[in-house]
Amino acid sequence: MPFLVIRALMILVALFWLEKSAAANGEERLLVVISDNNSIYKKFTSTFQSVLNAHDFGLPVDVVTAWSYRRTPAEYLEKTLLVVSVGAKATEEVMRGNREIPLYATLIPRQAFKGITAQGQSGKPPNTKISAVFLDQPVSRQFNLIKLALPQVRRIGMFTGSSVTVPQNLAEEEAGKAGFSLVTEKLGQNYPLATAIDRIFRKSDILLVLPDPGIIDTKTASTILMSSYRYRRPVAAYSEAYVKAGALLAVYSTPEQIGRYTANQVLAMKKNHWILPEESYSTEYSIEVNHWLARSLGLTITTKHKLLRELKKLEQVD
Amino acid sequence: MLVMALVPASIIAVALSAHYGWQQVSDLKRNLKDRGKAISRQLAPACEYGVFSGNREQLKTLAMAALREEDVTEVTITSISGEVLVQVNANRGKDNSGDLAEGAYYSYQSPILQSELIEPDGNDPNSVGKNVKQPEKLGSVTVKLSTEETTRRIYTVITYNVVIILFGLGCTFYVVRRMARQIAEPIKELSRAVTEIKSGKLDYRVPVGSGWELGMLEEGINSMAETLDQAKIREKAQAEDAIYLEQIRAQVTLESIGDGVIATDATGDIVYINQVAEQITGWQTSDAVGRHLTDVYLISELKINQEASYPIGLCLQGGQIVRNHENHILVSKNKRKYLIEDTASPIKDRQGNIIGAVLVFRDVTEVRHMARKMEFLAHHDPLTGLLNRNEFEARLQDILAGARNGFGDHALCYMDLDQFKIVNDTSGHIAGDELLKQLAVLLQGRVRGNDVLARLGGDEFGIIIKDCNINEAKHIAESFKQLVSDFRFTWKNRTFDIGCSIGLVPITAGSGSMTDLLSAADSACYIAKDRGRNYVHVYQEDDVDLAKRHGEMQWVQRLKEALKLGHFVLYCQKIIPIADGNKSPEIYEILLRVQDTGLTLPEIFIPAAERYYLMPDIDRWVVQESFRTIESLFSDKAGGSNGVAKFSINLSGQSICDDKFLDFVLEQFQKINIDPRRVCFEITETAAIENLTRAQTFISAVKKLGCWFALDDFGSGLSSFGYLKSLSVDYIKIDGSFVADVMKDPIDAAMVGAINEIGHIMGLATVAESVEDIDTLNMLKEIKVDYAQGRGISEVMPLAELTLLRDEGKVK
Repeated sequence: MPFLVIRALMILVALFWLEKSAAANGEERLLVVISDNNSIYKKFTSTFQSVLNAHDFGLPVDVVTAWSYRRTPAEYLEKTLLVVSVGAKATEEVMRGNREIPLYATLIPRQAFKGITAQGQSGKPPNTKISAVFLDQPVSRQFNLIKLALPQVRRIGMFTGSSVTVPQNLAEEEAGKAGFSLVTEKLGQNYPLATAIDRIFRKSDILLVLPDPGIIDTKTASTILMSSYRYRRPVAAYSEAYVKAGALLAVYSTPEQIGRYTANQVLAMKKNHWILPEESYSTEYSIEVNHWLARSLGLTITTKHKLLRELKKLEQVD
Repeated sequence: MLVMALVPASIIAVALSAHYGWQQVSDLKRNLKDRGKAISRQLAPACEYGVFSGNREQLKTLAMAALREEDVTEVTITSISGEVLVQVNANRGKDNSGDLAEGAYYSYQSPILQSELIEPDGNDPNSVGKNVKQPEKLGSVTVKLSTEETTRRIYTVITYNVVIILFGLGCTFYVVRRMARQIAEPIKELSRAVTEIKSGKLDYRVPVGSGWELGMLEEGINSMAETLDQAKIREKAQAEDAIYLEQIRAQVTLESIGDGVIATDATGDIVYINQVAEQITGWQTSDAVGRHLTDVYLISELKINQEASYPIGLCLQGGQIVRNHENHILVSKNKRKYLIEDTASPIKDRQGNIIGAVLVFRDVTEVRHMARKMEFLAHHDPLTGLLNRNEFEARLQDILAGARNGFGDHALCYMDLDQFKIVNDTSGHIAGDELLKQLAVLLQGRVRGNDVLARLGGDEFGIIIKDCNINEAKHIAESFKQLVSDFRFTWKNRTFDIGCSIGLVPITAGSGSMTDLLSAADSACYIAKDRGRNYVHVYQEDDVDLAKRHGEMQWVQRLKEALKLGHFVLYCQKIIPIADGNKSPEIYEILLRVQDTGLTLPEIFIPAAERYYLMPDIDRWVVQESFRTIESLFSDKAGGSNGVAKFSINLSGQSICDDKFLDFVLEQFQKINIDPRRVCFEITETAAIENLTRAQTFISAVKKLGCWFALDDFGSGLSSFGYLKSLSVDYIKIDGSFVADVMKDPIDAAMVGAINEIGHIMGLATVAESVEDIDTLNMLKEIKVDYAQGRGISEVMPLAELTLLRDEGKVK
């Protein structure tokens, strides 16, 4: 009797495992969780999927928004080989219950990614199967671009805030490498913007603005740009919009560029048994130069295409 | 007027409105320009950074923001090089403006200047950026403002102004009109009311509803109208009352007057007929009114008996009052004829047009008849129908005049009936009248055609026998006398023999006046009477009797004067009881005298007084005067048969026969306070016998009062003693003619004795008159006569002297 019972139980367990295994083998997929359904993410997924399709990725790619995912994460994660979380919000959501499935965060600011993963480190066992493609640009790229565009620049000003995108030491190191002296000013609740701006424009030749959600917002950006005009000091920024708004130049990656870069990374992972690559910056990026402003400031800067070529050439050398 | 008053106000309002409208338009335009300048000037600095930095988005934002400003249709931001950085257009909302027609907008351009540079620290030449110290033009901002909206607003403003003006004018007009109505309508009403009231419509009222002074005026007008109305009503009522009263007065007057009144209109149709006219014409008002006068008022001339000319016709034609027509005879509806007098008067309106006439007529039939009757009576005796005294005298006057002129001889015959008084006394006046009428007929039948027969008064007739000498006249007079003598008058189974005494006077050329003739005839008649009645006496000039009669005739006048002037005086003579044992008080016989030219004894005037029927008046005076004297003497009224004096008053037969004399005496007893028992009345035996019934009545009446009665002159009339039974007397006064000669004539003595005897037998006291001496008195005492009177006893003395005697106690 007991034998029969044990046997029956074993049969049941075996059946359950078989079922699960069969399902897993039969319907493996790639889950893309996007933070939102707006145009940025649409551009990203569109490019991401088109690249995968172009390379015969072979697995179904399910795209789901973070809030849809949040209702039944288990169902989405089932038979998922890799979760690509697009944006900070999606990354945070997927990280919340997922321990096993490798997570590849993309289009996420480096600082945000560090924050999310730091949370995981402090509260729960770290998910070893996590990596990211950062939205922002490496500070060395910024310095190199400035160097290429404005060889006369010696002092680069930079704000340091509570959540520093780039550690100050790293920044100083990279600046040194590029031959710049770095002028920094604290910015935050205890450090008034006006004072910081005044100081930094008086001490530097160009101000490099890095994305820092703690200190940089639209209003701060506008203030910084207006001040740069009043001091006739150019601003190097991290987006096309910044350049249009009055920054002299910027290097940035578009969603499409990151989507393409991420897709290529996924394709590489598929080939590499879904082993996650190192955290990286997108190697595809764009440069924007405000020639009007340059002319106003009496500067002569080469075209952005030439700059891009020279910058990429420089990075390859590095 | 008020609307007219609005014209200047309207002009001012329009001008003001135009002025302010123009100002508004100017303001709008200036505002537009100002705004354009302001916008471009404000926009320029804002674009400084955008132009400097090439931030087209920002520039676009700024331009869009500017575009959102009112009226801004296009904003163009250009660089210093002229490159259009941003151009936004209101129509497209995009870059590149739409074309706006020139003049449809204002364009403002402001330079975009580079603001001052803030010097950075470490101004080394290698620092990035250009150090520009002077403001530098970066570009320009051009703002186009559409005048469309402003124009629209201007139009709107103008429209509003016009609308407001129109609305304001409309409202003002409405208000003014309303005010005008509120003022003008009441004023119109007031004006209308005044006109209406002026035209006499006093019941017209103004609708009251306006406020303030107008309301007060309206109420005032109404109050005035009300007062006028009431005054008019009162006046009308008074006028109506007055008219009504006048009508009633006229109506009553017309109905009351004894004349017939017919009123006609101008055509002669009857409009009114009064009651008298109805009675005379025989037409009722209902039938008469509306008919022509000639249908109702049928008149003809009295004498010629032909249709008369209508006075009312003449009156309507001529417009004058037409009187008279004495000779008209009116024939009534029932064919009765009236002698009428009529008068027609026209009725004229204020313009003098004849609108009718009034006919007043009077039935004079009776009047005329009466006039004739009066005329007849003026000349005739109403009882007998013979000529009366006046006519007789007139005729006599004519005949006398003729005689004096030698136209023949005539005779005047004066006839007085004998015993007529007996008929009157015994059978009454009616019998007497009847007798006179029959005699008149008898005499009228006997007189000749030319002779004149008249009743001259009472039982006297006068006849003028014409054209005959005195002898023939006497013969005719005798025939008259015989005729009367032969006449037997029968009255209620009693037959009376009537006689007459006739005085005849010849009427010749030598006759005196008519009065002389009548006087002579009257005298002759009395002569005839004195000669034993039923006698014809022809007047003789030397007739002694006639002369005496003439004296009596003269006395008539003296007596009347004596009565009138108080010439009568009263005397008295004491009558003393002489018989032995006769304790009776004395009696005073009251005697009458005339005191004029001298003192006249009654024997002189009594015959004349009796003949001319003056005795009743004289006796009245005597009675009244005697009573007063007795009253003055004996105011105590105590009297009686014992111990007090009596007063004897003589009465004539005429007075006894006077119907009213007894009443007079009784009345005097009422008026004068005397004791009737002091009074004794005396009447002569003859008078008593002649008026026996009357005497009895009188005696009975006064004796009831307590008076005494004496039969005077007893024996003189040779009356039968039997009469004494019929007369309830107390005393017999033996006629003085017997007493005076009682001592000389045995017959007289016998008579006195006999009378005294009989008197005593009948229980009467006897009084001997005319006792002149003591012998006579003694004889009388012997034969036991009770009282004696005469100068032998006591002299006649004035009655007034009794006062002395009374005071001496000699009269009680």
